[in-house]
Order: sequence, then structure tokens, then C-alpha cells
Amino acid sequence: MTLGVVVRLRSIGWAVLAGLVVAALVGSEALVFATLAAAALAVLVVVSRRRIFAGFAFSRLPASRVVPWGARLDVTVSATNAKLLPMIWLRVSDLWPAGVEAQGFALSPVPAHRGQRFSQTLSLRWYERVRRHYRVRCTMRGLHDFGPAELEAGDPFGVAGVTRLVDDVERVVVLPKVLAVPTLDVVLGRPLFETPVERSLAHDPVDLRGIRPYRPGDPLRAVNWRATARRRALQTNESGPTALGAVKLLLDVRVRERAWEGVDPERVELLCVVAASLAAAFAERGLAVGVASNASLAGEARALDVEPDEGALDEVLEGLARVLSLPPADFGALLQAQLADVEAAADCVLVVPALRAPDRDLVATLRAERGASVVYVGDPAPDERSLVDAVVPSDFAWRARDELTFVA
Amino acid sequence: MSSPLWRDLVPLAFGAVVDGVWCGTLAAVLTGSGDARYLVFATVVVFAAGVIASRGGEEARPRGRAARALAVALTLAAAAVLFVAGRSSSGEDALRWVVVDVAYSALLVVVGEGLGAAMASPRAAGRRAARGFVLLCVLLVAATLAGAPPAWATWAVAVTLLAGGLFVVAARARALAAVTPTSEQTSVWPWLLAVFGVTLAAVALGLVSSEVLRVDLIARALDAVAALIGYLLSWVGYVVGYAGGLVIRGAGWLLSLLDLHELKPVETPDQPGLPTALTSPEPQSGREGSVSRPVVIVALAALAIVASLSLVALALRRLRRVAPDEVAEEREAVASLRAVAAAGAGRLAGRLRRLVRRAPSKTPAELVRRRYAEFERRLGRAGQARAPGTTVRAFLLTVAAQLVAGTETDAALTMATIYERARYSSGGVDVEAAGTFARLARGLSAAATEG
Repeated sequence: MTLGVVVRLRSIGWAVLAGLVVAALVGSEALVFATLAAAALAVLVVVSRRRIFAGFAFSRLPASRVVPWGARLDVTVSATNAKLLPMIWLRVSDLWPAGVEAQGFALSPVPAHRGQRFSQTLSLRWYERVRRHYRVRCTMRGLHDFGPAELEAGDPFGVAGVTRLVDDVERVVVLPKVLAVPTLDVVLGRPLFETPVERSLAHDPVDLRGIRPYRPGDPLRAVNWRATARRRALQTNESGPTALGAVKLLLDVRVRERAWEGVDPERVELLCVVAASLAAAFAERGLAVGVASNASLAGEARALDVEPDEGALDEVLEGLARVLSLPPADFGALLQAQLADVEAAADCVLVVPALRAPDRDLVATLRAERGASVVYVGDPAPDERSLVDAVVPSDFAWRARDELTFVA
Repeated sequence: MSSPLWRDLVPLAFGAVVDGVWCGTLAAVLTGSGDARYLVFATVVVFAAGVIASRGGEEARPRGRAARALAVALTLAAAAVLFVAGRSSSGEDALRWVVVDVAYSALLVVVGEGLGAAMASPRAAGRRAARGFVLLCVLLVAATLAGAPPAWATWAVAVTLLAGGLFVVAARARALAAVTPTSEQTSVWPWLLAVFGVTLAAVALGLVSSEVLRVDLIARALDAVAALIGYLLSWVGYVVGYAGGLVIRGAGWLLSLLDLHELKPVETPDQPGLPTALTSPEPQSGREGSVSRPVVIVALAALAIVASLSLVALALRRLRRVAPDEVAEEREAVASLRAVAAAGAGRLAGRLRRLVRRAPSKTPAELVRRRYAEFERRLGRAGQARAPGTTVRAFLLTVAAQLVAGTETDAALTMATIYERARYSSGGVDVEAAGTFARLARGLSAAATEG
């Protein structure tokens, strides 16, 4: 029991003594009763306020830490009262991210915190735990925090509440929306294994995957003569590559020319969607995927740089999820670093909102030396068109679409 | 709490009862009639005034002309009811009574109009309830001093406590409803029921206590305290008088040596006798029914406490929110009552054991073992419990190694040696070694728990 409670109880004691003395002096039985009953209530109020958060625990737990865009996320809010004193009323005011849509309950916007207020009132009996399962839909890419929460409870009457701040924050990463890319061939570079012979990576003859009709250029030793005899047409053994092809996405998020012109969050979202869709499409084709960008990342001080790897798609998508709309670093430095990396074997696919004059030479060199492709998100200027392989218009309605289509 | 009934009328009703009781008591005290119907009348008028004032909600303020006219009409109507029901209009003091009735009715209307602001926040409601309770107590004191305490005084106090508690709850529920979506609100009726039960228990407790601490008993206790103080003061006076007498005698003796003249001999003061309030009282014949009445009241109060606590339990069981279909809710007990009772008994037994163990030990070896047990318990509470299978020596060395200073290793080795001798050796340890062990254990545990 703290000093404050002791002092309050002592004050109640003095008040009771004074009341009893007055009652005895005037000879009022009713005043004795009033003094003692009021004292009982006052002691109840003081002690319950002091002990109300003892043995209490609050948590809110998302079912998953990484959520695809548009997916539903279950959030379990749990409150435990592990003591004999019941919590007749408990107000929970939790800060949830702005990028979630409540399903079947209400969230009120809090513009000051760029979030939404989740409010509820609970009552807990002695030694009771209550769990409520809420469902939200994640509609905004990024790193989202659930919390902190402010709790208020108090004596049974609610004369004055005791507030407690729960600082625990649950962090959820919402990945960018991934669209199907039916016209991926537009950005496929020359070194990819579907183009056989010269540009194909070495094949592993042991890893025989099947047969296919002969194509001009197939080596004669790859021809399956038995199958050819059976089918009366040349058939070629198809085997897996000894090494995977690799693609590294180079993402430029500098939409505006100068930093003081501000940012364009909507274009940055589209850039991330395009990059994520391309990464998923490449991975689906069996390519190792990586990404590098000049963007700032949420929750991390480092730049986004994921080396191409067979299982790196998740890391790529999570990195793209953390991309912020803040004014980014120079994209030219990133291009120079790629050109300087002589050991890099991956092909490059650039996803850019603009091709600025200082960067064009670097892009041209990258295209020449590394077979890089350029996907332009926006409306390219005439002098930029020669370096562009595919265009995604800036007004592309990615939220309503399921497929990413390029404009020739 | 979303319906207009809940939002406005129920808190108003509870607040009206709180204010109506003291206003009615005021009328009863002023008229000297002790009529309980004044309470009902005052409550109704205050409630009506509150309803008129809160029409249109907070946004309707300042009040319009219609509301003011209604308030005036209510005042006149209430005064008319008082005049017709209470006095004859043919009397010579009719004009004076009319003025008094109108003034009293106006007071009720003004009090009722302030209810709306009071129920805006739980704190304001609490202040209002406390003010009503204090005013009622003051009026009861005044009535008792005037020699005409109302017979229903105890009931008025109980009703004020109950209504005040419920008024605060209603205001709190109103405030919570304002910041919580409807789907996330809990039902208010069980909450009110629980608070009703809690307040009823407190009232019953007060009733039992007041039956034990009766006025005559308190008066007698006060009398005894006053007599004791007087007795002590008498003794102080006796000592001072005695000392003064000695001084005067000494002065007389000195004067007699000088042959100046002789002083009148000083009488020694009488010792103060024990006041009658502190002597054992003579047995008094009890009042009629004085034995059975407390028993009945205590039994009824105990029954009321049990019933009210059952009411609280029932209310809390019903205190559930009807969750929408999309939101699933699970409730579970984290411990059974039997487990809670067992844990409580275990804690109590542990404290008793520790209390008993604090008695001085007979042998130094036993002292060392107990000191080590305390040391291990203290570290266990600090999150450094000894793992099963770890020897005492290894444990002590591990604890010492975790400290930054590094000088505790020698202390740990010494402690381990003394402990092993005390625990396993037939020769045991001497008192000096036990003292050394206790000192080292204190230092090491302090360093480990602070670090």
C-alpha cells in the first residue's frame, strides 16, 4: 500500500472520528450511521482505485505479422483480471493504423496520429479473461503499428478513473498489391533461359524435365531420337538449368525532380505495386529475384538492397512494403554502384517514374552491358522513350485491377 | 445508454433523488413537521425542473423563452400544491406562507436546473452527490439540535447514499457511451445492479457498525477521554502545586535563618481522585428489548450484506455485451475459486513459516542453512533462481560471475565452503563462521539484486 493510499485512508479515519464526535455531541443515531456507511464507501473507493490495475494484463495480437494487400487480418484483443477485485468498468482506447478497414465494428479516425481509435468498454469479473476477435482488412501498404493503448478503470461507481498507458506496440507489415503480369515478355531480357541456345544458361543433363518439339538452334546432342521416332517429329530433351537466372529490380522512387517540390505518395504506391508485381512474376518463372532502391525504409536506417536469390521474394516484398514516400536519395548513385559491380550476374529491370538527364547515360550503359530493361511508371517524355521498354500510365487504377498491363 | 431514456432521464432521476432528499429534509426541518412526503414532493419537482432544463440537450443552451416560462410555471404550480396541501388559505399568515412556498419551490427548480450540468461528467456528479450527502447531514444535525430529528433520518441517509452512487454510475456510463461505439458498449443495467448491491452492503455494514457504536457508547467514550485528560491535568496541577509549596517552604526557611519573620506554613495539595467516568460503571438495567434488538439488526444487516454481495455477483455475471456477429467473444476463468483459496492459504502459510523461522536458531549450522535459504529465495524473486541439478557451489559462483565488480568470487567460494560444512559436515561450523556467512550473503544478494 503506497503512502498516498495510507494518507487517504488516514484522512477517512479522521473524518470518521470527527463525524462520530459530532454525532455523539448532538446525540444523533442517524449521523453515526451516515458516518460509518459513508466511510465504508469511501474506503471501498480508495482501495479499489489503488488496486484496480493489480494483476491486470492487456494485449492485442494480430494473427499474422506479414499480410498481403487487401487481405483480412484477425486481431485478438485480450484483457485479463487476475485478482479478486472485479473491474466493473474498463475503457480501452487503442490506436490502430489508418490503413485497416474494420469489418463489423467501428473505428474512429484520429488525424493527429494518422491512425484510427479503437474504443471499447469491458467488464471483468474476478479471475476472468475476455478475448475478442476482430477482423480488419488491410488496404494500405506499409509498416503499421497497433498501439499504444490507453486504459481507464476505477472504483465501481466511476467517481474518478485511473489511467494506464500500455506502450506495447504490435507491428504488422502489409505487402504491396501483387498483380498478375500477363505481358511479362515485354520486359524479359535476353539472357533468360526460355530463349535457348546462345543466351541460355548452361543446362544440367541429369535434371531431365521432359521433351518438347525441336526448335531451330537446339543442339543435336539434346535431340531425343527415340521420342523423335515415336512421334515422327524431332523432339528435344528439356533439362533444368544448372543455375537459375537472376533479376534485380532497381526501383527509383524520386517522382519529383527536386526535394522541395514534395512527394507524390500515390505514384510511389504505383511504383511499389509495379515492382512487387514484376518480382512475383519473375519468381513465378523460376528466376531469382532481388531489389535495390534509393527509397527510405520505415523502421530501418539502411537502404533497400536485397540480393537476388531463389527464395528472396518474401524479403523483396517486405522491403517494398517498407518503402516510404519521403524524398529519396540519388538514383544515379545506385546505377553507378550496379555498373561498378563487375561480379553481378543478375539482369536488371529498372522501375522508374522518370529518366533524368544525368541518369540517362548510366541507364543506356546498363542496358548495353547488362541487358537491362526499363519499366516507366508515368508518361515518358519523347527524349525518354528510346530508353523505355514498357510503360505503366500514372493513372493506372491498380486498386481495382488484377492484372498489370503495359502500354507500348 | 444510447436511448434518450438512458442518456438523460435515468441520471436525472437519480440526481433528483439525491437533491430531493436534502431539499425535502430542509422543508421538514423548517416546518418542524417531520413529514416524509416533503422528500417525495421535492424529488418530483427537482426531477421535473431537470427535465425542463435538459430539453433539447446541451446544444439548446442558452435556454429559450419557452423553457423559462415552463420553469416559472413549475415554480408556481409547486408553490400552489404546497400552499393547498399544507396550510389553510384563510389564515392571517397566508401571504407569508405564499412567499415562503414560492421561495422554496423556486429553490427546488433552481436545484433541478443544475442537474443537467452535474451529470455531464462523473466528477461533477460525484461532487453533487457528496454535496447532497453533506447537506443532509448538516440538516440532520440542525434538526437534532433543535430537538426535532425526523424519524426517517436513517432512511434518508441510506436513500441518499444509494441514489448518489447510482447517479455517479449513470454519469460515468453516459461519459463512456459518448466515446465508445454502440457495438462496443456494455449494458448499463447490470452495472447499476452491481453498484446497488455494493452500496447496499456498505449501508448494511454501516447499520451493523452503528448498532455496535451506539451514541451513548461514543458519548461515554468521549466522557472517559475528557475525564482522563482532566485527571492528567489535575496531576500536573498537583505536581506544580507541590513543587511551588516546596519552593515557598525553602524561602521560609531561608528567611527564618535571617530572623526576618516567619511564614505561614504551606499546606500540601490533595492528590486528585479518579474521575467517576473512569471508574467501573454500575450495572444498569437494559432497556426493553435492548438485547434482542441488536441481535435482530445485526442478523438482518448480515443477511443484507450477503444478499447484496449475491446481487453483485449476479449482476457481474450478467454484465455482458451483446457482440455483433462479426466479433467473437470468449470469456474464461483464469483460476477457479478453489485454486485461489488454495493459493491464498499457501501464501499465508508461507508467511507464517517465515515468521516462525525468524526465531533465533539453536546452532550456527542451522543458522547458516536458513541464511542460505533466505539468500536463494531473494535471488529467486529477482529472477535468478537456482536451476534444478545445480549445486550450491556452482550456483554461488555463477551469481558472483554475473557481477561486474568481479570481487565477489572469493565471497562466493567462502560462502560455498561454509555452507557445505554446515550442511554435510558432522563437525559443523562455529558462530564466527555463521556470522561471516550471513554478512557475505547479505552483500552478495544486495549486489546481485541491485545489479
